[in-house]
Amino acid sequence: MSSTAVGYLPGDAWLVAGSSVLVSLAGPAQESALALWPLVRDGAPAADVVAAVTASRPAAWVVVSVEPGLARVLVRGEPGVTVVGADGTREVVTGSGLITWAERVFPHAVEVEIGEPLVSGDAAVALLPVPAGVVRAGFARWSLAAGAEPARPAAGAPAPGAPETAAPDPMEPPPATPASERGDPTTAGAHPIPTREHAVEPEPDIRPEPDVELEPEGEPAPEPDDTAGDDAVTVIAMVPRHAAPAVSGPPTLTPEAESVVSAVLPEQGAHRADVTQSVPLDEELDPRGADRAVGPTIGASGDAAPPDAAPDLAPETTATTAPTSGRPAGQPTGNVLLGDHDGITMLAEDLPAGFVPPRLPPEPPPGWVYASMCPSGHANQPHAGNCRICGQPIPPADPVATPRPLLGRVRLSTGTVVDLDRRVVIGRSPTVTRVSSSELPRLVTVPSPLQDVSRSHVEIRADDWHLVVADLHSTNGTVVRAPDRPEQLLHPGQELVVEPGWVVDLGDGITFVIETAG
Amino acid sequence: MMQVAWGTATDRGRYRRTNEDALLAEPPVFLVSDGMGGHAAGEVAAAIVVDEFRSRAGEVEVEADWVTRCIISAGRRIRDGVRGGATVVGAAVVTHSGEPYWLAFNIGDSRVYRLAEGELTQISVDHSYVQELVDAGELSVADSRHHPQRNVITRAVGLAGDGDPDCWLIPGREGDRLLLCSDGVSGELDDAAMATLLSEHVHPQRAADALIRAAVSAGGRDNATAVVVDVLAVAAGTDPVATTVRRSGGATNGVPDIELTRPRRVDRA
Repeated sequence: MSSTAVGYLPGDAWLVAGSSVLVSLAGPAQESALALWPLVRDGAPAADVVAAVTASRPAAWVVVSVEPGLARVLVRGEPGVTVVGADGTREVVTGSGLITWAERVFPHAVEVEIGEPLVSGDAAVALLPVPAGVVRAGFARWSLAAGAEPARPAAGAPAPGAPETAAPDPMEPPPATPASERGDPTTAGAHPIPTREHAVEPEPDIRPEPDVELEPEGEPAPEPDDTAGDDAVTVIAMVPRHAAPAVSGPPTLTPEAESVVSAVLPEQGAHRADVTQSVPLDEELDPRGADRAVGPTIGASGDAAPPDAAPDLAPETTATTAPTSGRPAGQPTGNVLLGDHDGITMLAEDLPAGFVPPRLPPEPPPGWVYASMCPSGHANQPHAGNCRICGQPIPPADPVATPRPLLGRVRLSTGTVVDLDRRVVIGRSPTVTRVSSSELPRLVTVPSPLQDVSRSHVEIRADDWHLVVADLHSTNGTVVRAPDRPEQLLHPGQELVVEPGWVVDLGDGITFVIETAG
Repeated sequence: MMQVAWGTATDRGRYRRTNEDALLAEPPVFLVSDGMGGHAAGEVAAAIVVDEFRSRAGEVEVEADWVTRCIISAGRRIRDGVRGGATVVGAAVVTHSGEPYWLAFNIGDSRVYRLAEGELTQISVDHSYVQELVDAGELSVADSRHHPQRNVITRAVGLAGDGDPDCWLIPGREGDRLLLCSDGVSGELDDAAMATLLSEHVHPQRAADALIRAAVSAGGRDNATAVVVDVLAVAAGTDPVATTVRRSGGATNGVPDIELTRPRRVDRA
C-alpha cells in the first residue's frame, strides 16, 4: 500500500486520492468527492476525471494526473500548483483569472505543489497517510518515486540514506521539501524517517518506464540534469484555508499550508489492488472516518509505522464511524460506489473483500413491467423524468413491478380501433394455434378482395415498454412507414419496434396507424 | 353471429362399469370431459367440469378468461371434494372485431378436430406422455397409438396444470364441422375412419352416433363420447351468438343399435 500512500494534513477541501490521480475540490463538495472516488480509484483518464469534476461545478479545483513519463496538471480558480522539475526548478500553474481552467503537462516533473510554494525549511512535515481515498485536507503531498533510491535526492525528498523508506511512505516523516532543499538529500534524510523493508518493495514498480524520456515540447519544464530526478515525482497539493495544523512535526509547514499529503504514485495495478483491499470500502468513502483514523498516526508522527496506519485505520473506523452528516442516515455508502452509474469497468479483484453484487430484479410476470410511478400513480418507464400522462415530475425511486399500462392502440383504415392491451393479430382470416389462454391475442379480420392480405398477416404486441410489429410470414409482406424515414418492407417474420404515428400497410388498401393510448 | 347444429353421443363401452365421460352442448359452449379416479371420483370430477361451465354460462361474455375461470373453479371443487381429475376439451363461439370464431381449449388427452372441405384436422394437442415422446421425436404418431403408456396424461383438471388451458382461435366458417371426443373414440378409431364417418353422415347427430357405435365395435375399451357441431351459417355482427343459434339435435339423439347412455341434457332452465 505504501506505493500509493498519500499524506495530508486536515483541512476544509475535499481531497480524492487515487493511484494516478489526485483531485482537490474546494468548498462543500462532499457529494462530488464521493462521486469522483470510483473514477479516481480506478485511475480513469484525466479527461474523464475533469469531466466529472466540472459537472459538479465546484468553485475551484485541482486535478493532477500522473501518466507514464509525465504529470498533467489542471487548475481552476485560485489554488496554484507548483511543479518542481527534476533539476529543482519550480513552475507555478494557476487558474486565477481564467474563465475555464489551466492545463499544463510536465514531462520531467518530479514534484507538483498545489497552492502556495513551500518555504524552505519545512522539508520535514509530519503528514498523515492516505493510501487512497477521500479525506478533508488542507494540504497534501503525493510522491512518485522510481528506481531504488535516486528519486529522493532529485526531488529533494528524503536523504539518500533512507531512500527506500521515503518513497513508500513519504507521509510519515514527510519529506515535504521545499524546492530549495530538494537538491540537498541530507536535509530530508536528517528527518526521522522510519525504515521499513517492505516499504521498499513498491518502489521498483513505481515508475512505469524510467527510461522513457518525454520530449519537453516547449514545456518550460527544466531538463532533468539529475538521473534520479526522472525517477521521482512528488505531487503536493495545498489547499489554502485556515486550518489547524493538526500536525506539529519537527519540520513545520509554511504558515499557509494547513495539511500536506504525500504519497508515492503506484503505477502497478497490483499495488493499487493492495491498497484498495487494505481499507474497507465504506471507510474509504467516509471522510470523517479517514480523518479520525489519522489521529493515532499523528500522535506517533515521525516514528509511527506508516504501513500500520492503514490497517489500523480500517478496523478502528469501521467500528466507530457513523454516516457522514452530509449523507442521509441509513443510506448505504456502498451504493455510491457500487452503482456503476458512471459506466466504470473494474476488475473483480479490485472489489473489496466480501463484496456481494446487487441482485438483478426478477423478470416481471407476463403482462407486467417495471415502472416508476408519478405522484398520481401513473406508471411510467423506469426513471422517466416526467409523467407521460399528467406531466408531473416523477420522484426518484426504485422501479416497481406493475401490470403493463395500455401503451397504445391500432386504428385501421376500416375504422376499427383495437387497444393493444394484449397481442393483436390482423389478417384476412386470422387464426391462433396453441397458446395458453393468458396469451390469447385479439383477432382482427380485414377484407381483402384481392387476397393480398394473408390469413394471419401481422401482429402487434407490447414488449416491455415498446410496441412491436411482427410480420407473420405473410405472402405479400408488410410495409412500415415512419414519418421521418424511408418506408421499410418487413422480411417474412421480421419484427420492428414502432412508434405512435407510424403506419403499417398490409396491401389491398388495408393500413393501420399506431396511436398513443391517451 | 354463427348458426350451428350439433349432435352428441356417449357410451360406457364394453369393459367399464360406469361412464366417467361427461359432455356439455349448450351454445355457445360445447365440451367433453373424461373423468378419472377410483370409485366415483372420475364420474364426479367430469360432472363438476360440466357443471362449472354450465352454471357460469351467461354471467359474462364468453372469452378465454372466462374459460380459464371455469376450469380453475372446477379444479378447486374437485380438489376439495372427491379428488380424482378430468380432462376437458371444448369449443366456444366468441367474436373478435365482430367476426365469429371458435375458441378451442384443452387440458388432457380428449381432442377437438375440424372437418373442413372434406379434410379432418386434429386441432388440439394432447397433454400426454406419448405426445411428449412424439414431440421429442422419439415416437411416431402411428406407434403412439399402441404405446403401453398411451393412457398417461400430463395435465388434468383437479390434478395438475389446470390453471392455463391451451387455446386456439379458428375462424367460424360456414360448412365446417367440429368434433369433440374423448380418447375412447380417438383411441379406437384412426383419423381416416373418423373422417369417413363424419363425411358420410350429414346430420350431426347421426355422425355422433356413428362414431360411438364404431368406437364400441372397434373395442370399446373405454368410455366413448362425441360431440359434433356444424357451422350452418356465418354472418358479421355482434349479436350474442347463443341467442341466434338454431338448435338442432342434442337432446334428441337417435337410439343406436348398441347400448348408448343418454347424453346429458343441455336444456337451460
